[in-house]
Amino acid sequence: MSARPAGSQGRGTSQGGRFLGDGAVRNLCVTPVLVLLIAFNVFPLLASLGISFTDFNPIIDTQPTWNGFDNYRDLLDGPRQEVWRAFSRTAALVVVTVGLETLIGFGAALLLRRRFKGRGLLIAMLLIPMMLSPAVMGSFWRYLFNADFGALNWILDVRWNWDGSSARAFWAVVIAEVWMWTPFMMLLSLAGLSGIPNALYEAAMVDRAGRWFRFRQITLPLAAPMVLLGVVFRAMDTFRLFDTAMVMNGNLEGQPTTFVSVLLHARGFGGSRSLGEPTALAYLLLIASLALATLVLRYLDAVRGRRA
Amino acid sequence: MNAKPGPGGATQEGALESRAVGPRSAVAAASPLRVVVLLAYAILSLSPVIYMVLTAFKLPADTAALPPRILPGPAAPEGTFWFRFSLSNFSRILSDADTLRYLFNSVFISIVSTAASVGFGTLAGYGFSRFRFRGGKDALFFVLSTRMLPPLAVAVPISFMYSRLGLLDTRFGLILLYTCFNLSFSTWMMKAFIDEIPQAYEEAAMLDGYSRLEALFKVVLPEAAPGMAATAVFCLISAWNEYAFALTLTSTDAVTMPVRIHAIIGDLSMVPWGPLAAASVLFLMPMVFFGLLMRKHLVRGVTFGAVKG
Repeated sequence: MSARPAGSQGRGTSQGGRFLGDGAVRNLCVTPVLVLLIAFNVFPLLASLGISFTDFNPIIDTQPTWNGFDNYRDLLDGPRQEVWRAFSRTAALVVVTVGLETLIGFGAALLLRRRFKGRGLLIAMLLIPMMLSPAVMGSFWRYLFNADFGALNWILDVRWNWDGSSARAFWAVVIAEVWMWTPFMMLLSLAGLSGIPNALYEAAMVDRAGRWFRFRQITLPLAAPMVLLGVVFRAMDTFRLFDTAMVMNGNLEGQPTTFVSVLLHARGFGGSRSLGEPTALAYLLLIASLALATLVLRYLDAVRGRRA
Repeated sequence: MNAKPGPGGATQEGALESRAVGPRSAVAAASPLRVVVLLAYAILSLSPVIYMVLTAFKLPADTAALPPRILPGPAAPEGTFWFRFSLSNFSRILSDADTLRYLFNSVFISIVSTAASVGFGTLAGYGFSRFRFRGGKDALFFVLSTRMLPPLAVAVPISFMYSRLGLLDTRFGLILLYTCFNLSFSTWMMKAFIDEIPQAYEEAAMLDGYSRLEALFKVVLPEAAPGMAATAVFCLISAWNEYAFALTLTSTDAVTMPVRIHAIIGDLSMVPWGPLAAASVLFLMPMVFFGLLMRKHLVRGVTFGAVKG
């Protein structure tokens, strides 16, 4: 971001400033975005931080009473530890899904490095899943996963039940997510691989380095920054996963696919309950996401710096 | 990726598939085995979409038949892969007033919010690109960090705020929200694109007597137009596909297609899979088209402008 020296700013003020000065133009440009983002992100979040310490209920609309950390304690200490289980399900989903996406995506990118006829078309075809709506595809996955006439069960020659009553529901969501987002990892892996200078491989060949050595010492370390950027992006997105799990299995509590966002939907939009507990849960999700977001920002900066 | 030196816009031409890639790529061709494996992967990856398109042309009986019917034909004998090809799902969907209304909602909300977020994002991108000011870098990171918020964490307070403001279940409410959640993306993308336009262009224009604002509109914006188009496509796709806010903030009037299509499922024992698939195909096709159109900007899009594709 700081690649460009700030040399020429302010120079135009005196010469071209017959209409608006540079400072005014800058404010005109930047202020609307900041105001909108504060109104729609910061303000609701601050308001809900306040609500999370009360028993505020918008339906009854009585004077809310302050109850300190009660909501947070109830959440973390609730019956059947549902919140903890939702977090651990979500963590398991992140590890499994992002792991598979990375392996398959990087593998496909390695195969796609060499030129061949129709390569561009093939890459375009492979990218299609990531352009589709997760909610719409999730609805159709229910058809493919149908126990009685689903195509998947027919191919596997089984009569498995993939819905929320079975532990397989978790894997159904994994399959749907991996299918949709592997192209993303493939794309970033390809970008990482294509940035490796040929000269390195040529030098290694001169030194008679073996295939495995070239892969370990050149390909992996040099492609790693882009691949890691993809991994942290996907980890952050998978951590807050809602669409696919919601359309495939709904928002009942205690299912194998009741991830944190799904649980938040169940409690936050579940009727006449107090908003205190859901907003507290939203804050727990927010704090966990912030950790991942920090990683994303750090890697974005690292990759940008390297390529600037 | 930045094998070509120089910060100019010329590298934009290097589309994903036309760039020299990997070791000896200009010489060595891929072995047939690689191509076969890749083709198998492509077929596997596309099969859900292909099956969806096929299902869109099936009659109800064929959607629940085994083996899965994958061959369109005039008749569907028992125990074969043939199904009777029919356009009835599409005519049913296209004559359903509700679906058309929700499709209109999707089109209207995503187009207006995209225009707004690209407009504001371009201005802010210009501001952050051309001016160094105190807190500027922090402001830029604040803008990016809003994109990292989990939608559901924001949806609870927003729905409460919207119910107080009378914005629940209105198109305007969704437009505002979609504009905001695309702003961080459009600001970062447009900053990256505008960073590549030499400042000398505007300075020359300002020496010729243009004001800063005139230089922005008459010199910078025309140069930034391709970047704005790419940014618009990404905003359009994410607004078009958005589900969490649409589900939580609408009920009847402002419902969009992703919510509508999932609602078709309703009673699980008798889901009309054919019409559902037909509606999905109609709804998804435009974004596949736009996405493929923009694929040379895809790497830049998924990295918020940080990496030039």
